[in-house]
Amino acid sequence: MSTSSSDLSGRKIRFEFDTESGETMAWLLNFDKIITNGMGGTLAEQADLSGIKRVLDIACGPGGWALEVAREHLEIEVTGIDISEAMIRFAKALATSRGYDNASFKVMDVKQPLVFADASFDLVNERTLYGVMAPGEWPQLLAECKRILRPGGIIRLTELEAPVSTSLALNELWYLHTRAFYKLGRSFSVDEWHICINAVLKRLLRDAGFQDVKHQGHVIDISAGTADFEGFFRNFVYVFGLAKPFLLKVAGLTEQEYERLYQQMQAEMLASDFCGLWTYLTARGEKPAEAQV
Amino acid sequence: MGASSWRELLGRIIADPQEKQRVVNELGVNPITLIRWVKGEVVPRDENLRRLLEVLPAQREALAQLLMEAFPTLVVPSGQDTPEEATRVPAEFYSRVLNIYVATPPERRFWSVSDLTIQLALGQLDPNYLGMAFVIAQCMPPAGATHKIRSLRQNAGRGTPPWNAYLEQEPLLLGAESLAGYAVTVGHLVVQQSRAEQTHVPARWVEWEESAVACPIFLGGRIAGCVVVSSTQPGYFLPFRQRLIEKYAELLTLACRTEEFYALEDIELKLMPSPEVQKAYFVHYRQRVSDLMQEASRRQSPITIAQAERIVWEDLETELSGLAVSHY
Repeated sequence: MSTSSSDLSGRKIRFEFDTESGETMAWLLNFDKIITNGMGGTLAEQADLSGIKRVLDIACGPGGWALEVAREHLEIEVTGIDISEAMIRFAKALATSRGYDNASFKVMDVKQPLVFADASFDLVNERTLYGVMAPGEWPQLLAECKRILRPGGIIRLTELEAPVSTSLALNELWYLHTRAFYKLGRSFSVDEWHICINAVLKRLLRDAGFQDVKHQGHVIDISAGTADFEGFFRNFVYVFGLAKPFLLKVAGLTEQEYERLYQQMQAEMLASDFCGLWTYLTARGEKPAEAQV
Repeated sequence: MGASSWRELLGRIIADPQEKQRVVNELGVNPITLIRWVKGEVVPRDENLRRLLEVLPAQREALAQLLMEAFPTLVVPSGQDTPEEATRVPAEFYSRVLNIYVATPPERRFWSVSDLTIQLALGQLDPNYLGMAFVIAQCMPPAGATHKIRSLRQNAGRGTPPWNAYLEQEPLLLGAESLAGYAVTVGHLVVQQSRAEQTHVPARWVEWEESAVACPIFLGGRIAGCVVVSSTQPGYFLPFRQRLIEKYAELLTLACRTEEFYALEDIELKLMPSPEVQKAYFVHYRQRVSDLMQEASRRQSPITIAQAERIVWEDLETELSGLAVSHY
């Protein structure tokens, strides 16, 4: 999920969450955990980590993924960057309190040239940047990622689509979400129902000059009774609680209508017959050994 | 079961290949040497024994005790060399929790404050995932003929393996039979360092739990409940970890409304049935919350999830209070 600001049509819209907020940080820590679990681990698709010593996490938020990499792999030096100073302060405090010496964090804007030397990293990771990036902004970011990767280095992008579920209210709230992003030009979709980022990830990587581009889908069961149900339930309570001001502004609902949907979503998700699936996709590619930067 | 010798404890620790590699790397010894220590074929030099204490901070207290039994002349350092950052709650954490307190709508405040605080506490208290559960047990509202608090509801919590990540999925009522109940009744932190420890403190040990702390959540001498922290490691709760737990319990005062803090004389906990007995009653807990919310919505008088949960907890307390004596 995205945590940034966007200037659109001359208007500054808070987009989509307040990055200074403690509740946003609580949500993102929870979100990182459930998604990492759902994807089978931090670097699940990387069979061989022997050449991975320096890792960069782009738009790391409070550092959930980076800290988990640091905990699991003492031999890896992981760096997280985010535009939010508050997020970076918080991530640093988390690393210090846990004694993770191999994790560091820096304030950096992913829409600007990244302040790293060429070939600085063995692997660059990002998750759920779709809300921050307009379609036309991806090529510059991916070119920068390619520049800072060593030849043969790996990029992995993980993005999501709206979940499908038996909760009418959850589905409606997600529709408000995809419609808002469509209206704001933050969607690859030709309609208001999808984000469509997963469909274009491989093309984005190929167009940026990465090779051996592959993808791996993650279909996460968020149904009642699953081990991480509580985490997903909590995630949606956080997301649609925090996104309320933004969605009210963009979707044109009354506060009462929104609250009714929000309560209904919670009631429907708590029912023992609630079922849902959430689809994530990781696309990965390699920087050619003889790449021209 | 606690280990009976330092060799046995070390053997258990290095049974995990990753942990074994970490110990080997940090000690700078050959893996074969480590195995010979465990088997008793070689006696380590004193400096290596002291280094073992440094590289195994989580097991330090238990290991130090076993080493002193085996090597009475060994000088064991006091353990004051824990990095200072690990012994205090960062100012940044206070800032973020306080921000939730002031900026979050009241209906989400308990949930958000407690969730962030528990995530922070768990990360700091168990950074290497040795195994920990951190739960909040909140006072049920006064009820019954005497209008006293009869039990605590375990309604928020998280864990690291082998515990589940989310412990709300295991709701439970705790009473006078529990460590939590004892801490709330006496009004101060209580610790049990091992199952073998003979104390007068009541405890109903749960699976994987080898040591535990319960610490009340206080505000102006009144109590809202307590935190219960369980570890898979005997002797895990060194003084600095107890102080950390007290600090996190202080932060959790921000999760509770003023009227949820009660005077000590209002607390008269009953015996609650065992978790196994309670499980059958809580199996439909979420469905009951869902039903209440949907019914209220149909009647055009919607209620929040917090309101629905409170009603279900009160109903379950009444049902279980009638069982307590016969099924304890």
